[in-house]
Amino acid sequence: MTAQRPRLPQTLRRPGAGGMSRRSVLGGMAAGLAASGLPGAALAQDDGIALLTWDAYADPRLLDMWRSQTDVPIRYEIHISDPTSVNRLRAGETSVWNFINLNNPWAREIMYPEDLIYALPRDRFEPLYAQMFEKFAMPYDWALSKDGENLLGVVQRFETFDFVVNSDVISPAMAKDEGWDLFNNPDFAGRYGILAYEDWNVMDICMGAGIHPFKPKTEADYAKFEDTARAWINNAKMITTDFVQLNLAMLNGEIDLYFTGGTYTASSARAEGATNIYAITPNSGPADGKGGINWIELNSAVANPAGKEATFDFLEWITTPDAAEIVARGNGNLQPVSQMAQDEVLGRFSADELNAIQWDEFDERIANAVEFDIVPDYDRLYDIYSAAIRDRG
Amino acid sequence: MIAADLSMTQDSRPVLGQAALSLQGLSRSFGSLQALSSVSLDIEEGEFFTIVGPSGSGKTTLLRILAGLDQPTEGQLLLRGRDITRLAPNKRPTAMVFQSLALFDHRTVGENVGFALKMRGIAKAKRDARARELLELVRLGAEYFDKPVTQCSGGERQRVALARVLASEPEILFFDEPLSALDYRLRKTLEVELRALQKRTGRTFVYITHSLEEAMVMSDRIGIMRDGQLVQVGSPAEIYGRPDSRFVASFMGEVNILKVAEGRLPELDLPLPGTPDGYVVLRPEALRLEEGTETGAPGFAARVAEVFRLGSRVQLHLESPAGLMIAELPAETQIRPGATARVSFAPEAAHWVAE
Amino acid sequence: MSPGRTGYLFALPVALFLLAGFATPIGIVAWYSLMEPRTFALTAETTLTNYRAAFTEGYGPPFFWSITGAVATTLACALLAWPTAKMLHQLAGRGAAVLTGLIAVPIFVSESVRLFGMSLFLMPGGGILAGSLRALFDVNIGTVLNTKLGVFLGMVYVHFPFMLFPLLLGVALIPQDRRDAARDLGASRWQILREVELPLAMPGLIIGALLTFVLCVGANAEAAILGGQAISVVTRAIEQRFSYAQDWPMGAALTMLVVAVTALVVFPALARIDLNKLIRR
Repeated sequence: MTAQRPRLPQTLRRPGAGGMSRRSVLGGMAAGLAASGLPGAALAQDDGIALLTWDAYADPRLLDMWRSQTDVPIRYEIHISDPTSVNRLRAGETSVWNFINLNNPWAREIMYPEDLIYALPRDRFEPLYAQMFEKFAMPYDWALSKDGENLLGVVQRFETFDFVVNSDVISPAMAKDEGWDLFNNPDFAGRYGILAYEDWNVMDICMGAGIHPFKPKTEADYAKFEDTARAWINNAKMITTDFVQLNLAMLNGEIDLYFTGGTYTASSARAEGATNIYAITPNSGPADGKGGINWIELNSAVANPAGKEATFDFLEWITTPDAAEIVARGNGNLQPVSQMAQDEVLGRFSADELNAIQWDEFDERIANAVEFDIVPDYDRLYDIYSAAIRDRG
Repeated sequence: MIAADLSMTQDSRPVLGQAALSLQGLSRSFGSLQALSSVSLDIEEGEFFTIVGPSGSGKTTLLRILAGLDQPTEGQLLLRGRDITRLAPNKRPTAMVFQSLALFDHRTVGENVGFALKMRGIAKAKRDARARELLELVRLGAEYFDKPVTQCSGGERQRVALARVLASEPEILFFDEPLSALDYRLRKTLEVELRALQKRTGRTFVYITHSLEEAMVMSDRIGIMRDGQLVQVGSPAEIYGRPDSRFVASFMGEVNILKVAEGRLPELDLPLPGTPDGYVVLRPEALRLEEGTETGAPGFAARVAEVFRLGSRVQLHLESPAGLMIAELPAETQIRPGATARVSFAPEAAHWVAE
Repeated sequence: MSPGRTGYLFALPVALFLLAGFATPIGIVAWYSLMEPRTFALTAETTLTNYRAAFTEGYGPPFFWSITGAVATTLACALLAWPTAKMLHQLAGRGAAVLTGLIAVPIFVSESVRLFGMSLFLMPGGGILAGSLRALFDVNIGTVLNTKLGVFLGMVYVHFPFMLFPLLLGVALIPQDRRDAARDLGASRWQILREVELPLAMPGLIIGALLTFVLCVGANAEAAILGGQAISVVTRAIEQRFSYAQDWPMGAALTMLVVAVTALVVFPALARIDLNKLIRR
């Protein structure tokens, strides 16, 4: 099944809470066992490097190119979700993996404070940021430890992740203006789907309820959130973890729009000609006037002494134009990468491909979005959300 | 003895002069195999009729057709004049005891016996009472009622199977070699009991077996089957004394069969005046022996090859001009293997058959 | 060495495997379910908070749908598999192997792939069924996709073989002469089924029903892929607690409740059958 992309669990929003550092070895091992269903020891080590990653980095062209250029063996496993992968590192799998890429807050808030990843040599990796878009210019907070001293990773893929419409039914201009209110509009009840990336759904429902997702909530906010969550979940035609199903449902006319979604879910269908599948970032919303949310992927080195140097080499190598191009096209899914700031990289994409990632309005979408962050009191919001899901049927 | 409180039998009361079961040209083929060829027979009311034949002779096929478990490809089956050829077995006032007995191992003895009554929707109390009566009738006793069938011995299972078919108040009972798996003594006991039961209930029994001996003990009439055909029907005495073919004769046990041509027995070089060409059957006990080789009345010389003592009789294997012959003499006869003897028989003891 | 001790020695590897692979994880999950919600330590004070929450915080519908779905699927599979098993048994040797193979082959294809296939088949508009009907007969039909019925169809489709194959063994336990005898004693078709065939085939039927029921209680993909979450099953609620909610103790408590429900069904049913009877045939 399709791997789920960006998400942010509760632990992230309560750094230091829950006794994470006090967790016993036994607890950690049990956690890994329970979370993965497999004894960690079953994963054998070899001399090369091991990626715990999204499917874009599992593209055979990328792996073959690395092997032929370096003779360092490489293997991978695809994330199930951000929190599951962090659970695995916590459960002792830092000795298994070398490379991990998660959404922007994880490295700074969880993985580095828990010693799950290494700081990178700044003199070697900071220059890479100079080749990216202006937005990532150093000091770029998400790539740095909270004290600003240490560099924790290299940003690569990024985009806004909000909702997707069928542009034959809903004009993109109207959708951008209406923003999240489209899902509050009774006319669209039963006409939309939900991609069950649930932490994203929680943020989107905040937006729809007129609440800044990344600011503290009042009791009135919770009540508004619950009303909105129940309405949106009950009015959804379908809820699925598979965005291909949602795209097909849109092409079949079953639904006209879905949340959560963006270039990640729309680009492959658009590249195949279904350009009426259209990713929307609202022009405005309750998050400091913005309605979109922008995630940034940070590639980091797992705190694993074996293969440390080779991992640093890999982190640098994937920012080279040839490698970055494959990542942007990884496994048939088109996705903007930070290196597209360089003409040498951008020039490798055809007009159709750029249309597939809606490149002409990409800057505008980034400008209309707030960056993915911690949702204060996520636990309470998520419990409201999941209770609404249970009550649906 | 058997309460006539069951409705199924009411439309088919015995009619004087009408056969209980009339088989009219029944044939059955399986593809190219002709298992039954035009079998016709009337089975009379209240008779114990046994069909005997070697395995593969078609007797089981015939019985399945009679019970309704199979249908003939040709011919008709009449029950008291009514055509039941295509009637389903559960609609027929007949019941069958299977060779395997086909007891319901997942039920108790009482449930097995009461099965037919349950199928007719008779209340539990009533059918249980009836089942207990039937268990008494087959000499099992009511204490068997709650016993699982799987805990019964072979003989007990026979009786349960019998009680089970009797419960359905059948007009006609069919038996498919139910005793074949039992040991000799138990079989003998049950043969006698079965015959007695048939007399007591007055029901029509149709029994099949490959053992003529079994048939002789129990039957009013016997039908002999061979290759899908009924070759001879008659009382045990008729079948035994006047077989109408070498097949029937040899099927009944060890007999001597000699060829007849032009009023002589060419193999023994003996005259048999007035006898048409064909064969004669000589029963072992019809042969007389005198030690020595003097020529007397018509007879032939033979050498005693083997002597078997059978309790009340002595059986001799003789090397004769016609090959191996068998003679049976009273037990007191003193004769040793290797002796030569003169063998004779009364001409009227030679039973003639055409083929 | 006594035969008994040799037997225990032979059983040792299996026992160790079961201990490591089955008892230990269940033990850990059971222990976790007694921890404070949303904690990760295994060394804190125990509490029944999670179990109380399971009964008070709206987990009723997921349990209801999982169990109802499992019961309905088991019944439907049994109703479909019975005539199929009887037919295959009667065909024995004449094409039965081919038919059985055709039914068995999909088991070797990933369940998700099969369900996606079914989803493509059922899709409205451009779906295989709807599209073909429109193209060939100009008939327009709706879809059961993303409905409870869709989930049910998917559950039956996926779990049918798990009912069929044990039932084939069960049907093979019915000797033909018992059917003949029952018919001869006046039983109608329906009575033969109830009085003879079902009791004799019961071991196979119970095993098939248990397999189907247990798999259905643990099923998730049907509701997700074909149902569009028209219903929320208990496995999904558990998954949510473990992943997005990062609430392992609550997830563990729900897991233990599912294990308990399953055990309540499985053990009494298993006690009713003699496995040897089925295997020795």
